[in-house]
Amino acid sequence: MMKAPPAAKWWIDLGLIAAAFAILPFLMPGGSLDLNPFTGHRLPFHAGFVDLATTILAFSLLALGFNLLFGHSGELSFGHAMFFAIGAYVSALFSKGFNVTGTLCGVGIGSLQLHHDAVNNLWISLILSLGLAALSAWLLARLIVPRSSGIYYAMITLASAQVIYFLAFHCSELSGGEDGVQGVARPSLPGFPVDWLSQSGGLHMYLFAALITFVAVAFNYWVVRSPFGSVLHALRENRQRARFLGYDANKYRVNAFVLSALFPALGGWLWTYFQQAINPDAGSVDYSGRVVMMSLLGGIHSFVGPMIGAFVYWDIQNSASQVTRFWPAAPGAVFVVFVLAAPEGINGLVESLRTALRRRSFNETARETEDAGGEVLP
Amino acid sequence: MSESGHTFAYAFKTEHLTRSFAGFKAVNDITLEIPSGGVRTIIGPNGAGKTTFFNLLSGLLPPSSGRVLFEDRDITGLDPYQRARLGIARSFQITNIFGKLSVYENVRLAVQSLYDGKANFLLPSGRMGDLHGKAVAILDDIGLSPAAEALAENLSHGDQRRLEIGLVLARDPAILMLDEPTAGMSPTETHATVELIQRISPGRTIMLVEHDIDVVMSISTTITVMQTGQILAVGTPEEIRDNEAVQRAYLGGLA
Ligand SMILES: Nc1ncnc2c1ncn2[C@@H]1O[C@H](COP(=O)(O)OP(=O)(O)OP(=O)(O)O)[C@@H](O)[C@H]1O
Ligand SMILES: [Mg+2]
Repeated sequence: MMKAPPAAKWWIDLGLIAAAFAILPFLMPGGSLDLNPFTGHRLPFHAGFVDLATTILAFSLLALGFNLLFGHSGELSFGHAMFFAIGAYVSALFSKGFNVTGTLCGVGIGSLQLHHDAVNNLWISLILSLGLAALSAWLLARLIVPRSSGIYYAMITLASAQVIYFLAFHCSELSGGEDGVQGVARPSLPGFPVDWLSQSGGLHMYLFAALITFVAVAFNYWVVRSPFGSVLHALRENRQRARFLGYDANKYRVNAFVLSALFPALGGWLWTYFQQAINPDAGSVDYSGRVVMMSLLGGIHSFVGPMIGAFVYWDIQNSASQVTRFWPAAPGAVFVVFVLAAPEGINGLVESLRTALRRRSFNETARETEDAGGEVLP
Repeated sequence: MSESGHTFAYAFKTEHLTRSFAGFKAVNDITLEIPSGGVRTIIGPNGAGKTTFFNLLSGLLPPSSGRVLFEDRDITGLDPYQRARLGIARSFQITNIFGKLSVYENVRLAVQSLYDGKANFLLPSGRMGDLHGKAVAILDDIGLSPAAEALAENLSHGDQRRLEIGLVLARDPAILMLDEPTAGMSPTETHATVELIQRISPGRTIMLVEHDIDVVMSISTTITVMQTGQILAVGTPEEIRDNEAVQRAYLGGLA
């Protein structure tokens, strides 16, 4: 059940993921058309649906980070959206600038300001988002890892996300409160063949997001196959045995937590420039819970599972919204069916189908070879 | 083989070591030196406190009072992983392996622990010393090479116990603590395991908890007899066999 991902060649795996990203917008059929960013020709994409594909990428990142902990290290974080929110708010505030004088959240702070025109650089914003997410993840992990495990760990991460949510909601002088930060400008990207971000979104934004997401996916893939990844699997399977072998389990758990926070933060960063706005929902229990569902739906013990889950989740929700006003319940209903009928998720289902097929063809070959009096090779 | 094996007069020393469970003293004020080298066997009836004593030495449990010294340092407060790095390795009475990982991956992980502490999430798994070579050597040693690809949980009971011995061998430890390694094994498997223990014993201290009296008498350098959380006697196999208190308390008709 908890097998490590089957050892396939990395370029095949990553190539398939790149191909999936390339066709993702085509999997979102629709009416009105978008423009080819290179030639200006009309393309068969519904702009809204291309945006759905971008949304899927952002949530894939959230799910990948979450699953580095859940699927690979066996630890359930129920608050991973907090890092999505941190990435999103940091980039929004950095890009838009802020000016707070007097008090922030009831604490006198004097004056805190950053001017929009000073530096609206996409990459500085990225570094700040990832850096602050990593720092907060590290502080939190140092606090909770030595003291909790299992359900307590899950509950403390949930409570921590609630704190972030509360701060986003109530420190409105900085965060904009319930409305969040609106009107975040997309910085332009000189040197790129297409002016990815200063255009109105749509396919431009999708291509940019796909490029960024792919780099992160490749990094995540590398990590889970590194010696570090093997130790996470060992901790997942038998933490006590790993400690008695000489592994500093808590050090690995802290590092895994920090690494796992980078992906949601990257997703939040993309989300900000995609939506050009951000509100406290980004760090809500709702988002944290959805990502658990997506990962389980896709299959937590496979590398691509969480991304498949994000895709299926949004597709179901979107399709359902066109046929019934009860659409918010649709992903939940599908989730329940999957947890009961296919606990290893969509990917697990596909894998067992493939194994069944392989076994059948193997048995047939075996029978044939037996008839021919030959040897059976594995 | 380990260098540290014979440079110290004792491997472990305990001082007034005590562990209570809800007032019941499973290990009761044990002050004992376990000399370096040789096979140091602990015997005693069920519930005597042998496993609890192992747990205190290996760091699974903190003592209620008393100290544990390893070679010449106080390790009472150290975590199991720190003790493992000092050269203390143990197997468990109830087989403790990575059941859902392959036999090869079990051993490879045990070997990899030697290289812990580097930024290993950036390293490709192939670039970390000769993990593969060492893992294969251990698999050969414990006779599990043919089963390398199998999931550990699918091995027979005896093979799982041998796999666990393979795991504890990986760091080339100075002290090897084996809690009933032959429990539940067939006579053939027991024989092979005893041979394995004898083969790996030079240059290190083996601490053994064992119920099979033939095994105990044939491979022990010294035997420590425990009863109700205390030490009843220590001696060579002959001394223990001829010890009247031991005969009365434990060996009974066997002598
Ligand atoms: N974690 C625990 N909680 C409560 N009681 C315990 C615990 N561990 C051991 N004991 C008790 O301590 C006593 C000694 O147990 P221990 O497992 O050390 O015995 P043992 O000598 O290893 O026995 P066996 O030969 O059956 O393995 C027993 O009475 C046992 O019930
Ligand atoms: Mg015992």
